[in-house]
Amino acid sequence: MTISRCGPPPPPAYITDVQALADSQEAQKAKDRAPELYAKARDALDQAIAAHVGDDETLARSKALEASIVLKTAIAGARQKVAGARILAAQDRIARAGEDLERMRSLRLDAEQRFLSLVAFHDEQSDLATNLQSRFEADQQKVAKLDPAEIAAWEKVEQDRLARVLQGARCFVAAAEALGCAALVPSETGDTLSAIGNAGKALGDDWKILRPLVDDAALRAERLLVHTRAMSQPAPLDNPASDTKAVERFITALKGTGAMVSATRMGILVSIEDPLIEGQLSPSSVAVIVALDSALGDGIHPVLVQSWAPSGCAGSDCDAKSEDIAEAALTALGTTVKATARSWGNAPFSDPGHCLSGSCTAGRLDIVILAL
Amino acid sequence: MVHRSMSAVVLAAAMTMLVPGEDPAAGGVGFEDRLAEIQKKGIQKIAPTEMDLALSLVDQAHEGDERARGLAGLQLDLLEAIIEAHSMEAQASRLETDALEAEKDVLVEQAAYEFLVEQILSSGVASYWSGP
Repeated sequence: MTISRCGPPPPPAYITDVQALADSQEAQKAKDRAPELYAKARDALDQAIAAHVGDDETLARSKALEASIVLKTAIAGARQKVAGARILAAQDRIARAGEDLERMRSLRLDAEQRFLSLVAFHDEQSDLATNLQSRFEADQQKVAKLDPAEIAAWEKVEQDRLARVLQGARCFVAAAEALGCAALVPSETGDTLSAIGNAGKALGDDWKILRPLVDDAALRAERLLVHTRAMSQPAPLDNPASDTKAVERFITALKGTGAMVSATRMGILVSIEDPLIEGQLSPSSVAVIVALDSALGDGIHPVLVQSWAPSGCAGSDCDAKSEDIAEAALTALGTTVKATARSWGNAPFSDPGHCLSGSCTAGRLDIVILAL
Repeated sequence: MVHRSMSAVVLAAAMTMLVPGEDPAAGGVGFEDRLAEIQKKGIQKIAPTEMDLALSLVDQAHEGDERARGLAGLQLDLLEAIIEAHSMEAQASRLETDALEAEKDVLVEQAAYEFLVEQILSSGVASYWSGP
C-alpha cells in the first residue's frame, strides 16, 4: 500500500498576482500612507483566498479583482500624499527664494547707492588733495625767497595754522567715533588714527615735514567720517547740514538765544561761547540746550559735545575746565540725544570763526548734530 | 396613510434613479458621467489598461451584473485617484522647476552683489565693506 501526502494546491495566478502586488514596495508605502484602503484590499484578498479554497471561483475572481483595484487606489492615494508634500516643499522653497532675492536686490541697490556717494566724495577730495599739494609747492617757492627773519615769522604762523588744522582733523575723528567708525570701517579708523598720531608727533618740526603729514591727516579724518556715514547700518547716514531746511529749522529754534548755528562738514554745529558761570552752565546756555533738545524732536539723535577751556588758561587746569563744560552740557541734554563728549583742554579751537568775541574767555561749547 | 403614500413616492423615485450601470455610491452621478469626466482629463494616455477595465466593468454592469456594478464603481474611484495623483505630481514637478529657477535667480543676484563689493574694494574708494 502506498501512502502519498499532498499539500494544498498552489493558489491560481489571479490570486498570486494580487498577493505580489500587495507585497510590492509601492503597496508597502501605501500601507503607511493610505492604511484604511490597504486594509480593505487585504480583507478582499483574504476573502478571495477563502472563496478559492471553498471552490467558489466566481466569488474568488471577483474578490481578487476588488483587492487589486483597491490596492491600486491605495497606491494612487499614497502618490497623492507624496505629491502633496512635494508641492508644499516646493512652494516653501519658492517663497524663501523670493524673500532671499528681494534681500539680495536690496543689498545690491544699497551697495550701489553707498558706492556712488563714496565715489562722489572721493572725486571731490582728490581735487582737494591736488590743490593742497600745489599750495604746498607754491609756499615752498615763496618761502625760499624770504630772508631768515621773515621765514621765522612765517613759520610761526604756519605752525599755529597747522595745529588748528590738526585739531579740526581730531574733531572729525571724534565725530566718526561717535557714529561707530571703529566697527563700521575698522581699517580706515586705524589708518586715520595713525596718521593723526604721526602728524601730532611732528608738531614743531620743520613746516616742510609737518605740513604734508597734517594735510594727509586732515584728508583722512574727513574721509573717515564720510565713510562711517556711508557704511552706517541699517542705512547710510546723511550729514544733516546738507539739508538746508533742517539747518533753517535749528536756526529758527535757537534764534535770540545767543547760540550760533552753522552747517559744517561734520554736521549742524551749535556753538555756545562762554557757557559757564562760576563752574555752572549759565542760564542762557541752559536755554540753548533746552531749545535744541526740543528742536531735535522725537527719536534718539547722535550728537557730539565738544568743549574748549577758557582761552587764557594753562596746564591741567584747562583740561579740568574743559571737562566741566562737557559734563555740564551732558547733564543738561535730554533723552533725545545720544551724546558723545570730548573735551579738548586748551587745544586750539578747530574753527575760531565761531568765537565771535575773539577770546571766549570762559571757554566754548560746541554741540554737533551728527544725524537726524 | 399619508406616510405610506409619501414612502411610495420616495421609493418610486429611488427605483427610477437606480438603473443598471449607475453607481449609487457616487451620489446619483452615473457611470457614464464619471467616465466622461475622467476621459476629459486624458486618462486614456495615463492609464489605458485601467480605462479598458473600467469600460468593460461598466458594460457588464449595464447587463445587470451586480458584482460588476460594485467593481465598476471601485474602478472609477481608482481612475479618479490616478488622475488626481498624476495631476498633483505634474504640479509638484512644475513647482520644483520653478523653485530651482528662483534659487538660481538668488545665486545670480548674490553673485552680482559680491562682484559689486569686489569692484568697490578694488576701486580703492573703500578698504572695508560690511554688509548688513
